[in-house]
Amino acid sequence: MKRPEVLLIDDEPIVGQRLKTGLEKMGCAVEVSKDPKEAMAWVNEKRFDIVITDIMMPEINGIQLLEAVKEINPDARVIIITGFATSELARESMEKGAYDMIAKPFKPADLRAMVAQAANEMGFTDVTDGQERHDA
Amino acid sequence: MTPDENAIDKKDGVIDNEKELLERPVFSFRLQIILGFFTFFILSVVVTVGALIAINQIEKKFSNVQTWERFLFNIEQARRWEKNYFLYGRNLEEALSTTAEAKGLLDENLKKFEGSEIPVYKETIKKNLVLYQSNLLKLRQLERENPERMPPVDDIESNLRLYGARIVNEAENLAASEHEMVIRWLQLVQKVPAYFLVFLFFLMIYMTRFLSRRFMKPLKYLVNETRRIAKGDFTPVQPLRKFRDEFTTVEVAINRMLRELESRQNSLIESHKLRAVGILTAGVAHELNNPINNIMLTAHSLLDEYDDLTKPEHIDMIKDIIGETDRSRSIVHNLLDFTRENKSSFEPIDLGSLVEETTKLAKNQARVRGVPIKLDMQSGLPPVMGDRQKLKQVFLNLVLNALDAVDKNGLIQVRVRYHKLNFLSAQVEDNGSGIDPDVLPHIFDPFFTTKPVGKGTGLGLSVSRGLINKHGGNIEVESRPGKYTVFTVILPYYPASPTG
Amino acid sequence: MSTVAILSRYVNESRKIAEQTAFRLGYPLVTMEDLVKGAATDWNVPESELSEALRGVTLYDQFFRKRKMKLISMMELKLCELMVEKPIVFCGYIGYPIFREISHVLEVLVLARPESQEKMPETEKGTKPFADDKILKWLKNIYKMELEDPNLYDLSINIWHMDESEGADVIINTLGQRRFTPTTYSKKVIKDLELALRIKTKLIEKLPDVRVKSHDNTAYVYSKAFKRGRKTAIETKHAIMWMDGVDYVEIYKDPKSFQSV
Repeated sequence: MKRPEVLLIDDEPIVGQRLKTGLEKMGCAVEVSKDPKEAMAWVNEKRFDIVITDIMMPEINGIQLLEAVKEINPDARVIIITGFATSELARESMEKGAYDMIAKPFKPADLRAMVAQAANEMGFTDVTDGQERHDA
Repeated sequence: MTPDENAIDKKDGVIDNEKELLERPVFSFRLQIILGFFTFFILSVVVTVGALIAINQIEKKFSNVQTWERFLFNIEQARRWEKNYFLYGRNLEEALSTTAEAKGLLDENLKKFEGSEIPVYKETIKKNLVLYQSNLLKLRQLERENPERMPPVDDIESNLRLYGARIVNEAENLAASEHEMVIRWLQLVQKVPAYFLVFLFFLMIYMTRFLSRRFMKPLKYLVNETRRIAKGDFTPVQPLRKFRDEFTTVEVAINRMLRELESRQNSLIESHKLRAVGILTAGVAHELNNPINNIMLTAHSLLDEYDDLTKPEHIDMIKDIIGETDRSRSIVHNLLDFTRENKSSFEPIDLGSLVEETTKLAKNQARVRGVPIKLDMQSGLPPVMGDRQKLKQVFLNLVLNALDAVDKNGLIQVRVRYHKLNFLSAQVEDNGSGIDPDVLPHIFDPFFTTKPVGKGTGLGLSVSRGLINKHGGNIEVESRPGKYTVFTVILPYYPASPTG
Repeated sequence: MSTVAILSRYVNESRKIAEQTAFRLGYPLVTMEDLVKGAATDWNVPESELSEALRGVTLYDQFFRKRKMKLISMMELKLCELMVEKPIVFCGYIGYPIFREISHVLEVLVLARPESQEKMPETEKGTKPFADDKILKWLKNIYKMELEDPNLYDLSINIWHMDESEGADVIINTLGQRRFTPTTYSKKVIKDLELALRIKTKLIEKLPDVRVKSHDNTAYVYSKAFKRGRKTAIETKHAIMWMDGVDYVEIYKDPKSFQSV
């Protein structure tokens, strides 16, 4: 069974900690980074299928990461998560090849749904969002 | 005395000053000019009246001279009749009548001559005339008593000759002296206007110089004062003179303007604060999204995965929620603390933590631009006495300015450490565009800005410097274009044992 | 997936382009008449009153401005509801404040005039486009906007030298740009706007200057009236806190802090 490689970057460590397990349960191979420089290095040496990134981060911002990811793997799906969501940012991200954007705060289920859809579109049919959950 | 009371005293002082200024005796320039011209007028009147009097005098003297000449003519006529009498024994009556005529003339005019400059002669002339007349009368009496044969009258003749000669002599003298007087008056009338013109000329030069100096000096003073005010020093203008003039009114007006400026500046500080808050809240509202997101994710994870997690994991997650809630609270608190409009109060402040809090406020702006802010705080520093809000504003302004100055590879360093003597220094350094050396000396001037209208984010540097000066400190700047700019805020630290 | 909003004062020309575009995209076309009908059914008000609110800015209108604003708000809400449901092609002149908030709405300005001062061909009778200049006035009065300021749009089309199918081509091509792709975020924004408009419609007659925002079921309400007394604020809060989709209500009396929400 092929698992999509997922990279999650946010300088807020809690984001990675909380989302990792859920995404793994869905059937993803998840790498988490809170340092965009480190993530940039990973992006350059490994092919990720799905990248989830924050925008506002020290030194390297999410748009730069998005561009780097798209350059190496144009098929990769990049999901933007940001606390500074604006219409302009949405348009810029989408223009530069983002797959979707969601504003913080978001529910883990919303992000999981987005990841599942992206994975399915890419042919990872085993990835499902159908895990049992209490309704929030 | 706390600085607050100081401020109040100063304000009262200004009002007292104004009252005192307005209560001073008035000696306005208007009055001075009026006085100057009035002096000219009085002088002219004096000269004119003098000239009129002189002409009148000349007229009088002239008529005197004429009178004397007539008198003299009468006397000489009488003497001629008298001579005839002694030669041919006739014309005595004519001599008597002309003498009487002369006497009448003298009597008539003697009143006029009284109080004149030459009184002695008149008495003698009158005496001589009376003697002359009496001798003539004696002669006539003798003639009447002895119609046939006249007794020898040699003594009478010699008397008559003596008195006659005296009268003529004296009358001639008098006429001559009166004539001389006329000439003297005439000379005077000729000279006085010339002198007056010279005098007027010098008076005018003096008045011009005096008045212009009186104008120029306070004007120069006021120009210097406005320069001082332009540098942001709002202490009231002290007048140059003890009395009130138009410049006092200007000074009072300037002092009023200064007070207005000061209160405007205060409201400006407030409005700048609000604007800064506007910039910050946008950032802060978004910054809040991060801890809220963390809380949301953690809570959802707890809900979803509760059974799969161990007890210590549960506790960790709950601790995360508490921690992130705390973080949200402190973000909001920090902003509220900045916005809060409390009256200025001086309190001991840990400069390091104040600067750090302020830097946090600008953190979002820094993150938006991708500019790191490095803090370097010396530990164990004594506190400074200050107004927390105002100091925060100053530092926020410096940090926001630094953020504006740097580009993508920017770095902002904030340092707090010991300075010389009893001072602490807080430095904000950026590696941005630097400040042009031509501009550098002016950056603390009021109304100076390099930013387009409406773009300036913070407080003007002049206001910042004013605030720091009120804390007994100063702001210094050092810059190399293209390299760096360092703003150093120097504040006196507060001794460990407060002295009041 | 993305929505097209066509604004113009050349009613007939823009309508034709909109029809073409909708047909080729397979989206429903929404016109001003549709909004009038929809709002009339939803709120049980006569259609004539709604259409009247979309016209003219006479003194008489100004007198009943509060009512007028409510009617407009109803139609904006209808528009927003339609946009939440599915992508549409809208042709009309209402709802500009909604469109600009949403990243996946392509805002198109349709002009129909010669580029330069070239002379109108008067010989061909009936080709001279009819310009409804009342729309200009209406927009200025209601939204304080200049309809024909190209800076407000993503795309301006001048159909003076272009037929409607060419116009539709340009629109569909532009819509193909990735930047107009809907995102989870932009879809959420419409839902937030819809809730805000529902609240606004409810409040506007009482508070003509009311401004409403909503995020994640929290409503943020601003009006100058809240400054005067707590009573209005509390009444307002009570009026909306039981509405569907509203979990929390925040009342703002300072426009600046409201803006930063």
